[in-house]
Amino acid sequence: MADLAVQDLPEPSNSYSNDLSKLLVLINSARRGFWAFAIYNNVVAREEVIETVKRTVSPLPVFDWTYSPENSYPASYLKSLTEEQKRERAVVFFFDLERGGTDAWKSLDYSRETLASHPHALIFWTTSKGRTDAARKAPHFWAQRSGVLDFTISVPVEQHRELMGSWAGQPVEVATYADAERQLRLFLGLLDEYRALPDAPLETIAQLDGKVGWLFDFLDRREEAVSCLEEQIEIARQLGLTELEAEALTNLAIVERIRTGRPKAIELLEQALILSSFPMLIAKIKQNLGEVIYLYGESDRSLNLLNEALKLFKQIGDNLGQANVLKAIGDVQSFRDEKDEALKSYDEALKLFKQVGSNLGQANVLKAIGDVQSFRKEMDEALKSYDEALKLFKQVGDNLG
Amino acid sequence: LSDQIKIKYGKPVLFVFEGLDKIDLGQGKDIFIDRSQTISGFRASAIFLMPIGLRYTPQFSTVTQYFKHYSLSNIKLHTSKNQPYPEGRAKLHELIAQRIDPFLFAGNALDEAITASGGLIRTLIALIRDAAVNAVVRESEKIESVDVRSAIASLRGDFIAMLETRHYPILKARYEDKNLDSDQETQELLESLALLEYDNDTFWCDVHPIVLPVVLERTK
Repeated sequence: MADLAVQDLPEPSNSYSNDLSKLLVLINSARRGFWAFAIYNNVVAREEVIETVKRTVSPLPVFDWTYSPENSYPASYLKSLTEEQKRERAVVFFFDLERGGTDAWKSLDYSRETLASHPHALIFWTTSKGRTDAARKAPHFWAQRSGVLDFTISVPVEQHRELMGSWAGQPVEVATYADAERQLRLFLGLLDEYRALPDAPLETIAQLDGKVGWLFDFLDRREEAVSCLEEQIEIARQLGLTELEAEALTNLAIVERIRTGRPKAIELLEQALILSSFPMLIAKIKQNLGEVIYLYGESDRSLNLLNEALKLFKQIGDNLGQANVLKAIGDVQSFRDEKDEALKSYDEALKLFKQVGSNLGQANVLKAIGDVQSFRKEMDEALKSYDEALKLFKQVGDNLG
Repeated sequence: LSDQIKIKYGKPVLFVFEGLDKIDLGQGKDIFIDRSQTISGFRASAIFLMPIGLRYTPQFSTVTQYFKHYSLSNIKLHTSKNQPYPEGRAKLHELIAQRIDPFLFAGNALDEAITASGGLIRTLIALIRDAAVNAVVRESEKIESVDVRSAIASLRGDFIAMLETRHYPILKARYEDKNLDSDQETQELLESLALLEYDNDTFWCDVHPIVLPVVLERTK
């Protein structure tokens, strides 16, 4: 996504600059651990404050922790730090804890001493409702807070809507896992804001559902991805938006392929193919169908579909699409034991991923090249490829890779 | 284990169980009422921190059979008959003087903070910390009334966010009668610190001074 600078943000009528100063004083003066709650009602304004704090406190390290069902207790942020980082001063922003309900809040009471034992400034971002929840559900933790900073803004409704619309319309562009988490926070926040509107625009909600679903999937949070994408399909059907429905079905198929297996994915992709008439989406559907079916022994049909997808991406001039398809073609060729052809496809894919600057794409291709070289017992070359892939995975922040 | 320690070091053993004051009342009953015999069976001394709400449950007499209990009440600034209690105020002055140079307060700032704290040390420290941050932001060398008042307003906002409409008439009633009882709502209000507990000859309570103006306003 384009840098989330907020130069377009209107000047808030009740400026929060005083609370920002207070937060900075707390961070700069505290030598021991403390925590504070930061209240927001607009995700864009929240991101602005975060960027300002990061700039101002630099070179103090700043870490983010975001609630997810798999990572639901705030004290778990310590697991991602080195022993040295645990001992050094740092700022840690906590997001979306209120999505976790009572247990997540209550865990703060139980881990209060652990959280207090490091020289970290712990800033919990919540809405006004979250503040109430924190006070009621984690009274002991709440009682020891060092401050409640108010970053809510008040702008005229129309201006606020315009602002939300411009942010909701931003494309998803992910270079690292940290990017994905930041964008997920932003789009989830916008989704909440839209859902709370009395005349919520369904199409915008559906568009956001798609973005959030994609980001959840990228971050391996598949149950949540499915829930968003199913809502997107439902709204698209309700509004008669067939292309949006086809896109949602395709994205759901990508998630289901890993979550529940291939038959469900194939069924969804075939439904999507019937609905879509957009070349780019058709190419994406064919690519995914091709990637799914070769393991069912349909490698000829798979290669045909992938070549059709490649042709479409070339016609459109989509290099990233071409790179993804070439990687998939290489996988099918490797599966068919056509290793020379596979390496050729991977090389082409690698060039294109480099051109578009996709580190994750390059890392995945280098790993696949390493696999072929390892299969051929070319161990030195394989190690070199794996080593390059590892460096890139680390840059992206992909621990699984 | 305690026997081994006693033999090895020749000294009595004291266990301190921290953090049990943070558990829910239901879990508190499980531990301190249903299992009071078990947990008081150590061949050593033990100090348990207990959820304060347990004291107002009908089964608390079970606890008193097995444990000697102490309550760390707040420092009163006035009596239950609304008579000033200067000893309490002096104690808080002394406590603050041990942590911060009194010359850093201008005018009545410290007295205002003490009055607003209701004798609750946690509130007093929070108010002074917030006021100090406000003073730094204003680039002032001293904490002034304006800083304390801003801190009070911020804390009042927290109470307003936490309290429900049904709580206000109860707070008004407790403000008038000062009586503590074991009903659920009173316990909630004690836990949220909107009600503060004091003792002299008997236990009594009062509304936290910071929330009192809102209570009076909303129960007119």
